[in-house]
Formats: sequence, C-alpha cells, structure tokens
Amino acid sequence: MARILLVEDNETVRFALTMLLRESGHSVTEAPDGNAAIAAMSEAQPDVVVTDVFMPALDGIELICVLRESHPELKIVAMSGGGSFLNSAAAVGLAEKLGADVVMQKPVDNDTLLARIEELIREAA
Amino acid sequence: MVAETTSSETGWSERLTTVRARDLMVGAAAFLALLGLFISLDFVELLFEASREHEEWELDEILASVPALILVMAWYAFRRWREARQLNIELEKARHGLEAAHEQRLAAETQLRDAQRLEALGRLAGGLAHELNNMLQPAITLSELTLKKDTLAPDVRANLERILAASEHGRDIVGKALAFAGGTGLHNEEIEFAACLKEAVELARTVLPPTVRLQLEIAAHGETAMINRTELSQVITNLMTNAVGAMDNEGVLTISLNVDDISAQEQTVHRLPAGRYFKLLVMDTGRGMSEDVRRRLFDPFFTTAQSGEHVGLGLSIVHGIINAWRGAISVASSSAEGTCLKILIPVAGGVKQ
Repeated sequence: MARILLVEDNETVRFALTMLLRESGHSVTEAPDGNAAIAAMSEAQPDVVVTDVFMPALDGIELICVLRESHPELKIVAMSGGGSFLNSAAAVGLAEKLGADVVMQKPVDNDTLLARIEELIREAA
Repeated sequence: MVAETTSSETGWSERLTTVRARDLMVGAAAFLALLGLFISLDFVELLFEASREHEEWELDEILASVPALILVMAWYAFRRWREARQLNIELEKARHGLEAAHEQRLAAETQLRDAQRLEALGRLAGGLAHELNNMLQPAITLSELTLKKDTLAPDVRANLERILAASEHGRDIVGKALAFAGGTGLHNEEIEFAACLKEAVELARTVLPPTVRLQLEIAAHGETAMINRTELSQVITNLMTNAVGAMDNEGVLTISLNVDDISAQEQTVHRLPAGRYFKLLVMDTGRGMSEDVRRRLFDPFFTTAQSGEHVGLGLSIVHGIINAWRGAISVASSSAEGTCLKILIPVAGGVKQ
C-alpha cells in the first residue's frame, strides 16, 4: 500500500477520493492547493501525488513543475475537470505536456484510478 | 449605407433611360415645330425665290446638302444611342456586382456573428463541464464505494444504483460538451488526409442503409494534414449519420475532397489565415433545412430529431474537432438540393499559423 498526497481544492471531491483511497488501504495526506502540497511534502513523504489541474493559488501544472524539479522520481497522477479528452490516447499526450505520469479526466473512474496508482507503485518499486 | 449606394446605382440606370426618352420627345417636338414653321413660311418656295434672285447660287447643291446633313445627324444620333446603350449595360453589370458584393458582405457578417456565438458557447460549455465534473466526481465515487457495502438495504441499494447511473449518464454528456468546447484533445499527427478519409468513410459505412447511395470523389492524394485519425473517424461518422437522417434514409450522399488555396472571402468568413486547405464537402439529397436551423446547426444540444434518441451533440462535436484542427466548417442548404457541409482543414505546412 502506498503513501498518497491528494491535492484537490474541492472539499467534496477531496473527501470522496480520500475515502476511496483509504478504503483501498492507502494512507492519504490531503492538501487543498499546490502551496499546501509543497508544504506537506516533507512530512507526508508520498509515493504518489494525485493532483487536480485547475486550482487556486498554485495550480496543478505549476505544482507538477515544482515537484519534477525537487522530486524527479516521484509518481504523479493529474486529474483534469476542464480538460477535453474522451479516451486514454488523448490522456497520454496531455500527460507528456504536463509532465505527469498519468492524466485522468474527471470524474475519474474509481477502479481505473486505483489501477493506475497500483501500476505506478509497481514501476517505482 | 451599402443599400443606399445600391439604390443610387438603380437611380442612375433609370435616369439614363429617362434622359433618352426625354431627348427623343424633345427631338420629335423640335422636328414638328420646325416642320410647321417651314411649311407656314413656304420654305422651299422662299428658297426657290432666293435662288432665282441669286443666279450664282447652285440650288441643286443646296438641296443635296439637306439629306447629306440629315444622314450625318442620323449617324451621329445612332452613335450616341449605341454609346448610351453600352453605358446602360455596364451600369447594370456594376449594379449587379455591387448587389452581389453587398450580399456576400452580409453573409460574411452573419457567419462571423455565428462563429463568435459558437465560440462563446464553447467557452460556456467548457466552464460548465469543469464545474459539473467536480460535482459528478463525489456522486460517482461515493455511490460506487457505498454500493460495495453488504449491509445496504435493498431499496437504498436500488436508489444508489439509480444515482450512479444518472451520474454516469451526466459524465458522458459533459464529455461530449467538452468535445464541442475544444475537440477531444487527442494527439494530432501528420497523416495523408485522402487515405485516412477513405478509411474513415469505410468504417462509417455501417450507418448507411442500403437505400442511400454513397458517391466518393476523392482527390488530393499524397497531401498531409495535422489531425487525428480517431477524431476524423468521429467527424465522418457524425456527418454521415446526420446526412442519412436528413435524407429520411433514402438518397445520394456525396463526399468530395480536393485541395486549394482559400479565397479572401473564405479567410474573412472563417477567420482563417491564407494558405492551402483541404476542402471536404459532404452533400446529401435530403430535405434541406430552414435558415433558422442552418444557423443553429452546430449549437450544442440543438436537434430537429423528433424521436428523442439524439441529444444534439453530434455536429457540435464535429465543430469542436474541426476548430481544434485550426479549420472551419460551414453549411449551405436548400430544400431543392439538400444540404452541403463544407469543411476546410489546413494542409500541413501549407498555412502560416
């Protein structure tokens, strides 16, 4: 099971995803924006960061840039509500642009999100 | 302002015709007055008398000069009449040209307004989709998590399943609205357009009933475009489905492709940079559409289907995809000839973006 830092500004979305991840056995640290996520990094020591793309303060794109500088090996899942892609082929292109390992269209599918996180943990191991 | 100019041109034409009629009337009146004067003065007798008093005059020459003078004047009048007629024809041509230019300008202004309206709708759809997705996320995640619990009462489980199904349906609709807002986001690559189009048409053939004949006129082989195959397939399927519906499942569907520089008018109307573009035409022999339907054709959730099976996003998605390719789509339709959708897609390297 992994340590996950969940960065999401919408409280209800954060609550739902935290519950999903915890019920799957992951330990979750929550952060409402990019700045809070950076502040929580040293204590949380996450294996995977799951972040929203559009957020106030430091948004997901800026956060990914900062994390790639400081933690090049860190696994990152970006979730976009405003992104406009319908299938996984599009997501690969967008992930490359953003610098994330995985990009998912909100509302993310529970099983798909958990499966992607498992894959990333296996890759990192 | 333009309308005034046109009416002024019509005025000139009328004025020219009026002047000619007035000249004729003045000429006829002058002729009658002079004839009356000459008869009352017994002009020929006076001339004869004068010539007898002046033996040195050559009466024959004087009389001969009269028809010669008349002939010269008639020739001159004929020339003037011919010039006036020519001028009138040119004026008519200029008037028609101005009228056509005026109509083109009005059409361009209308299309520009439509494009701006669709752009605004796209931004609205994108913004709404973002918010809706954030609302759908907890609805779906929490419903699924709760449904996994064994302790749920059957009625609670049934209701939760309904909530989940509705949320998932909402997610699909929002996804399509996002495609209208900015294409599907698929990665574009340089592909040979004509070959890819043929593949897409073959894949979409399943939407054609046997009563619809498909006619392909594909040129521009070897030229490439920066697009996505999956998106092209979706565009062609949506367009063909739409055409079949417009033809009530019977008629001829023509898909043609060529490549050319776009005109100055097309640049203005579609707000495209100059250059080489693929021109893809999808024509049906259906019932056509009213002006109101034509203008709203690409609006998200606009449909003329009575059955309720279409939500009206098919052509909105096509519009979004074509825009994402930096192209443009427009529609021409008449009840007599059916509908023609024209799609312009930039040739790779053929347009300075």
